[in-house]
Amino acid sequence: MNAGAPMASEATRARVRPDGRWRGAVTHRALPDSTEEIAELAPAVRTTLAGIWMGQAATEARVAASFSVIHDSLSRLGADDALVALAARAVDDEHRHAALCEDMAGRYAGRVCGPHAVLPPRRPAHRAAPSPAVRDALWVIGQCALNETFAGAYLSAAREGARSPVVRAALRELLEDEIDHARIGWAYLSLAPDGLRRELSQWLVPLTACNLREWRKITLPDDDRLWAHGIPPAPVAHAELTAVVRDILVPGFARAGLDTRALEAWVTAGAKLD
Amino acid sequence: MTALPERAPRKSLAERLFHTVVISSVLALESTGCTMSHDPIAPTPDAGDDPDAGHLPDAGPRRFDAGAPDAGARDAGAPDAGAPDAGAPDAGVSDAGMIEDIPFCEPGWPTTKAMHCTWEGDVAICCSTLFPLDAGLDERCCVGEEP
Repeated sequence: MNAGAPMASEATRARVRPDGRWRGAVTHRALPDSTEEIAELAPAVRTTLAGIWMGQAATEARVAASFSVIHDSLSRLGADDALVALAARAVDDEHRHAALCEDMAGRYAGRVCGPHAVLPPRRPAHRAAPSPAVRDALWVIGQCALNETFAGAYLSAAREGARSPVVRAALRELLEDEIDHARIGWAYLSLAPDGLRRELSQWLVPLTACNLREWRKITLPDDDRLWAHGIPPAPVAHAELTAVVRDILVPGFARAGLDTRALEAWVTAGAKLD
Repeated sequence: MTALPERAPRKSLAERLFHTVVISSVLALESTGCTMSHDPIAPTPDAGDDPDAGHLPDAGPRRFDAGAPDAGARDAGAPDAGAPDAGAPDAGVSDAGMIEDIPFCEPGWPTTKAMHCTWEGDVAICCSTLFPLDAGLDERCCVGEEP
């Protein structure tokens, strides 16, 4: 029984494992009732927010496929059992996120909107990787230490301006998991063999640039009403994403023993992508 | 229209996340009995001046739930494919090569946020902008499959 998320479609809720993090529940804590606050919104705003949450449901579900790749990579790398287990859990986490996002969309739309679109999985090829082990490590670092750390910063920015209780609660649920997912990458790095860390040092600039480019593609509406419901204005989100590189990635990689000189120089030069 | 929330001077969100994500990941692993391959730096969590810190997820080690269900079928026999550490001197990374690295850039991992989907019949067009036509309908959009 997948408790909670009554406005998510049955098909999406069915993907949540009964033995997952919250034993089949979509969220750790029940979300507050949102009927009155949403009823006060203009129909156009409700439609916009429902569409945004539905889109996020699709992308969250796609990341479940990403974490299947990460799980297999960590297994091949002989990573610590805790990390392999956490990556396995992350697959289910992302399906829960999809159900949560559908539920939010349904609350704004006043009806069940799902099931969400199924987006084709995608992963970087890293054809220039000198060995399968380096490619596996690049996937772990790229998806966890980079992509999920950026996601955490995005959600933090979203929550910073969110005033709606149900949105703050939903973002908290998402953020808790994204932080765990980012930790997989940082923890793996801290334990990686020295030789592998030296190899990874040469990839920091292209790896960071590629992922930041994906995040900078996002165009957000500059509307304070939407920020109150968890959609940050583009300048805020982009500033936080850039700050991630300077305040998390550079010191994080340095702390893990990687050579960050090139990354620091790239950041100092403005982290330009063109 | 709702006023923009006041942003008091304090550590950036990224700075706060650094402690939550990076440092606590090492602490969490230590709690599982892992041997560190290098000396961890003493953690310096510093969210005391952050009025919102109480809303951030607990950064404590317990969040690493090694006992989580569905650990997946781990291939216990998988070789450690890590690159051999031959003790080679650190060759460093040439600053001169950094810009030239960027053309090797390939699409990164897809992000998890802020895609906006519309439906053309049964086909979902999902874009990273609410205004794909203004953006030129370039690689910001992708086609989803029918659910």
